Amino acid sequence: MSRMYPSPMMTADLPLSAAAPSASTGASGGKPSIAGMPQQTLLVNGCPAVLQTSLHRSTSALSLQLPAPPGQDALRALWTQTLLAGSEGTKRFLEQALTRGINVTLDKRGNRLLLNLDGPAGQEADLLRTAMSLLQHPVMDPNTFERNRQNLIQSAQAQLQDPATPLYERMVQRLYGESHPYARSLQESLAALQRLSLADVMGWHQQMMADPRNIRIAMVSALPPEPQQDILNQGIQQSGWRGGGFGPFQPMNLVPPAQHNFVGRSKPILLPNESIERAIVYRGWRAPAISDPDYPAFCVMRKLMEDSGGLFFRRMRIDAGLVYSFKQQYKSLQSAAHYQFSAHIDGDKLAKSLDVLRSVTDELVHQTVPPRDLQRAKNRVLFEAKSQTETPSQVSDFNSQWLGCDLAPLSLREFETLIQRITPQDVRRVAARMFHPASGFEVTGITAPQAVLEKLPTGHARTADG
Amino acid sequence: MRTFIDAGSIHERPVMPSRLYSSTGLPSGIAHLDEHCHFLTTKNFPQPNGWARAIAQEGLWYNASTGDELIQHELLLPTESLDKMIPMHHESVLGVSYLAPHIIQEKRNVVNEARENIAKPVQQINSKLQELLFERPTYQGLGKVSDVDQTRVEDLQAFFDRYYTPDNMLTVVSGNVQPAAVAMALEKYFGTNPPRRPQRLEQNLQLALGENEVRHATIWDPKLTKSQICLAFPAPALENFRDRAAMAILVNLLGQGSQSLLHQRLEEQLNLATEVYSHTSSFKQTGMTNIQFSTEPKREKEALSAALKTIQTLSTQPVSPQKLGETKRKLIHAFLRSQEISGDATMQLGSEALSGHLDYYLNYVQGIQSITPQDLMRVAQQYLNPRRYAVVFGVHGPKPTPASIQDQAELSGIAFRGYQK
Repeated sequence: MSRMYPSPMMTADLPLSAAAPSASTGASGGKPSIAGMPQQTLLVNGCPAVLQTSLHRSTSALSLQLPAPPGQDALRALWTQTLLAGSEGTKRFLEQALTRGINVTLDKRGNRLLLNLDGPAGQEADLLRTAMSLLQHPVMDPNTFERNRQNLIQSAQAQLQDPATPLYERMVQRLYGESHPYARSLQESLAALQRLSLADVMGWHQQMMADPRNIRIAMVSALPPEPQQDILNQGIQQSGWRGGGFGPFQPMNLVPPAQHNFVGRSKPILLPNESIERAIVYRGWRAPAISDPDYPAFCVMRKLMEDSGGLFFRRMRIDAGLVYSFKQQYKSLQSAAHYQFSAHIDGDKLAKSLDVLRSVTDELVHQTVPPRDLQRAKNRVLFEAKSQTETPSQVSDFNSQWLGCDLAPLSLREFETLIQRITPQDVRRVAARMFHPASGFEVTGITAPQAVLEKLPTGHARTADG
Repeated sequence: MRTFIDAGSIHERPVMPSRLYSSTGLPSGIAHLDEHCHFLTTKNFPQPNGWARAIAQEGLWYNASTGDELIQHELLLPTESLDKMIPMHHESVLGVSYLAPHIIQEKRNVVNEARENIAKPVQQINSKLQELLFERPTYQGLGKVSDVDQTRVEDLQAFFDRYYTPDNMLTVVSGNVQPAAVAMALEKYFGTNPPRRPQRLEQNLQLALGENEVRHATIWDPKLTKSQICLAFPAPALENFRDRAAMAILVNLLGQGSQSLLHQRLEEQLNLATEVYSHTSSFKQTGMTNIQFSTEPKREKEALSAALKTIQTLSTQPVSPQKLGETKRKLIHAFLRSQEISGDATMQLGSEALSGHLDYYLNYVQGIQSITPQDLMRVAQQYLNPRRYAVVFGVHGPKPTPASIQDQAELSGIAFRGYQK
C-alpha cells in the first residue's frame, strides 16, 4: 500500500541529512512550525526510524510502532494490557518512570500499536531504555494476565448491552463484507478473549520483536537528527536488540484488500429495540484511506461538514433544531477506510433528520463549494493541525496518523501545501465518490422502538436502490 | 484567549430547596443560556450565528462553559491572528445582543443539551453527589425546562449588566505573545466596558454536610452494567493554599495510578473494585474530593467499607518520605507538562487569578515541594473523615417502587445516619 500524494515513502534507505528545523509557514502563515522536516534513516539493527527536530526545548517524544494483529481486537487488547500492566513489577516500573517525568502510553493507529513515551528534554536515552525494558523484558504474571482478561471480557460484555453495538456492527459488515477482518463482531472478539492464553500473546510479542524491521521508531526532540540517531543506536546496542528468528512480519498478507465492487444506497438496517427512548441512527460510507490520493481533499470535505461551522451543525442543529449533538468518525485501516455519522434522535424527528442528512451529502455532490467556504474548511484543517502540534509528543501523535499506516509522515509544511492545493472540483469529486448512488456506497442503520420504525416513510424504511 | 466572568449558576433560583442559598430572582439556567447567547447575535453581527460563522471562516476554535462559580469564553487562535481576533473576542463577550426571536433557538439547544445530559447515568450520579455535598446539583446549571422557556430578554440583559462588569471579569492570553502589546490591545477594546457597581448578591457554594454526617443516595439505571460507588469528601477552599497542595498529594496517593493505595487495596489485594479514580476541586468557600470506583453488584458494602478503611490510614499513618517524594515529583512533572498546552495553561491561570489566588498557580511547584508528612496527616484528618462524606451508588436496573427503595438503598448494608435522599 502506498500513498499516491507526494512525499517519500517509508523506504528507510534515504541518506540522513543534517537539518535544523525548517521555517514552515505554519497554518496561518508567517510563523515557524515547532518541528522541522521528518528525516528517515535506518538504525544499527535495521530498524527504520523517523527523526524530527523540534524548536520546543523542554520535552522530547519517542514512539515505537509495533504491527497490530489485523482484525484481531482481542489479541491486540490482551497484548496492550500485558505490555503496560502485565504484572505488579511492570506497573511499578511505569510509576517510577512517571517520577522521572516519563509518561508511557499505548495507542492504536491504523495497522499499528504505538508505544508512546515523552519526557524532559535531555532524557532521550532514558526514553529508549524505558521502551526497551518494556518490550525486551516484559514481566508477565499469569494471575495478572487472567485478571486483565476478565476485565476485558466484562468490558466487552458491557459493550454488548449497548443498543448501538449491533447497529454499528451490522453497518460495518455491510460496508466491508461480513467475512472481512475489519467487520469482526464483538461476539467474535469475546470468544477470542476467552480462548487466548498468555502463551499466545507472548508468542505474538516475541515474533514481532524478533526482527527489528517489524518495528518503526520515531523521535521528536530538540536535538538535530544525528545526535538523535547516535542515542538510538547506542541504546539499541546496549540493549542487545538485534534481528534473527522469525523474519519480518508481513501484515498485508493477513488482510486482503477490501472488496469495493458494489455501489449505491443499501437497504436500511432497522433494529427494533423497545428499551430505548430515542432512535439511534448511524449512516456510514466507504471513504478514501489515508494512503489514497483523495485523502487531502477528504480532509477538507470533512471540515465542510463538521464542527460548528459545518453543514451538519448548521442544517441539523441551527436551522432545524433536530438534534443537539452528534458524532462523525473516520477510521482508516491498511486497505480501506470508512466515515460515519451517528446521533440520538427523537422518534418524531427521525424522518426529517434522515432527509436533512441526505440533503447535506447531496449538496456536496451537486453543488460546487463556494471559494469562501472552501477556504474556511482549509483554514480549519490547518489550524487544527497546528494547534495539535504544540509539543513534541503532539507532533509525534500528528505523525502517527501516517506512520500507523506504514507511510512516511508529512511535515506540517508539506501537509499545508497539499491542503492549499485542493480545489472545489476536488471536493466535489470526493463527494461524488463517497455519496453519489452511482459511485459511492452508503449504509443507514436505525435502532428504535418498533412503533417509531413503522412510522418511517417508505423512502427511508424499505427501499434499496443499490 | 479566555475571558472569565466571576459568576455562574450559583446566582440563580435554586432548583432544589435549601437553606444555604437565597432565591436571587434569576431563573435557573440563565447563566448557561446567557453563555450560549454570546455566540448567537452580536452588535456587529446581527444575523443569527453571524459571529460564529465569521470565526469558523478563519478556521478557529471557540467554546464557552458555565460552572457554579465561573463562566469562561474561549477562543483558540494562532498567535499571528491575535490583533485581528482580540476585537472579535471582545465582540462575543461584550457585544452580545439579546433578540427574542433568535433566543428561541438557543433555548431549544439548551433544553436539548439538558435532555442528552440527563440521559447519561454518570451525569446523574455526579449531579446527585454534588446535591448531597452542597445541596446544589450540577443540573442547576442546565436549569428547569420551565425556567429556561420563560426566561425573557430583560432577564438576560439584567444578568449581563450585573455580572459582565470590569471589576468582575478577567481576560487571559497565553502563547508566544508580546505581553505589553497584548495588554494595549485588550485595553483598547475591553477598556471601553463602562465601570458600574450593580447590586449583586454574594453567594458561593456551601458545604451542606453537618459534623459526622453521612449522606447517601442511589441512582438506578439499566445502562449501568456494574455498580458505581462515588464518594465525596469536603476539600479545602481556593484560598487555603497549603491544604490544597496537601490534598493534591493525598488524592494522588489515594487513587491516581496503579500504585495508589485504593488501587492496590481494592483492585490488587481484595479484587473488589476496578476503575479507581480520584480528583479534588476547590471553590471559593469550600471544595470537594471525589473518589469513585466500580464493583460487582452485591459487593457494594464490602467495597465501600474497604475504601473508607484505606482512606482512613492517611489520617493515622504518616506517608514515608520516599513515597511522598515520588508523588511530589509525579505531580510537578504533570503540572509542567500541562503548561506546555496553551489552552490548559490559560484555564488554570485564569480560574486562579479570577478569584484572587494567582499565587497558588505561580508557586505551585514550591507549594507541592513544601508539604510534609505531618501536613498530609493533618489535612487527611480534617477533610477525609470516614464519618463525614456523601456517597452515591449507581446500580444496574430500573428504578424500584417506593416501597422497595429502602431495601435497595440498604444494599450496601451501611448504617447511614442523617440525611437520606
